[in-house]
Amino acid sequence: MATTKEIKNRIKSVKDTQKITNAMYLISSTKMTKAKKELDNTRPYFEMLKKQIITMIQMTESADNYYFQDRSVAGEEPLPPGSEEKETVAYLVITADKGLAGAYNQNVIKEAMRLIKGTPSYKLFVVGEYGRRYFEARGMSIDQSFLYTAQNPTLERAREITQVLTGLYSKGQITKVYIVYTDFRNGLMGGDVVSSELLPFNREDFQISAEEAEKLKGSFVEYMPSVSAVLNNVIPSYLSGYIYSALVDSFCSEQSARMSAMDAANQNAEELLDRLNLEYNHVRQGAITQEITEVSAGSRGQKKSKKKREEREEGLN
Amino acid sequence: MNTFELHILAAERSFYEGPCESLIVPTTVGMYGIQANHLNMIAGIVPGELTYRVPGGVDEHAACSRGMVKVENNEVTVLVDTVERPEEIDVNRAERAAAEAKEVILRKRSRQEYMRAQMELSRAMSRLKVSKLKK
Repeated sequence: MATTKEIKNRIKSVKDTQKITNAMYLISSTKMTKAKKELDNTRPYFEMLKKQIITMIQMTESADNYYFQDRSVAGEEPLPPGSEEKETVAYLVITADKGLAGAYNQNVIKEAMRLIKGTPSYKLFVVGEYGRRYFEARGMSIDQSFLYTAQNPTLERAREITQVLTGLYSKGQITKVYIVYTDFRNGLMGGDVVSSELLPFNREDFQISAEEAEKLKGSFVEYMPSVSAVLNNVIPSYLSGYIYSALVDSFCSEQSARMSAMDAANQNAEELLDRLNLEYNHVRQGAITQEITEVSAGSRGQKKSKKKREEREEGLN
Repeated sequence: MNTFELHILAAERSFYEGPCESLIVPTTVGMYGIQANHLNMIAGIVPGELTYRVPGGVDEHAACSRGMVKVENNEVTVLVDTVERPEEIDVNRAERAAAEAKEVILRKRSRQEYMRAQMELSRAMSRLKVSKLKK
């Protein structure tokens, strides 16, 4: 059995760890609230933008430009010969910078690996230190210059990411862009991993009800100078909005995953402390009992020997 | 003077909501003026100087970045990534950004970098221009 001193040390170390996990829990919760509030600020703008893009796509059949499927129809920027057969898919994978967030990172990586398996030619753009390390260790082709942190997502960072991706896309170096991130949903269970196609745009993703389409047909709008030009001007903004909300969603999921992980750690620490306290009391009680036994045994022994001596002395007398 | 409803939305906030007499925006085809009862139209906005007049007031200036403007049934919506009033502009920062962008353009590294720097420069220049209009 451990000595009281050992158990005491153990209790102290568990308490210290609990302090850390508790602090991490609180930090995560404030970070999450902040990021969510910032996302809410941008919601009206991007919702409006999406609505406008849908309208523009609906109103014109000929709005094919290179952000859309069927590049051959668009004919805006013909691909260099030979690149058509070789499809290079870019994956934008959003992970966390740090671990200690339950299964958050593993879930994202699992989904990314599943997608990668089916593509012979791919390029990885990884946000977050954890994912970068993971893919690097496995010798997978990740873009080395793509260094973005997952901490405190900003619109500016989303814009830079958009610029990198659209730049490569318009040059034909990548033909498809997928994004793998964690959707926050209602914040329970740390969110769900989602993978969706960013580029090229799919017309089907921008469908509206027949009723609304009918209403749109009635109105007349003049485009300056053309639908395609206006779309080209706003699509990067839309994409950065999408990436931004994906970054924030992922960040919130990470924090919420960390919160539940830390909550579990706190509870475990609590249980461990209870057990250790019980053990400590046991050992302490045991030591006291032993001492008492020793003392009483000692005193009884002395009494006995005293009695014996007296008896002997009496006998002599 | 006739007025129309104007909504100027930036990514992070709603910049202006309310009546307006006239609006001038920098579009892909040049400066474009809009007054009440304008024909329905949609145009792309490039970084530059945006001017609007509230009824009975004076011209208000702002620096805006890329986006779009939509006119629909006497209601005008301006959607831009960022928009700032002259007093909100950090002149030092804009100057620094302009200098950096110029340097990147001179370096002539990659097309991508060049384009980015060009955008950066036009944003910085429009900010500096608008900041001079401070009242």
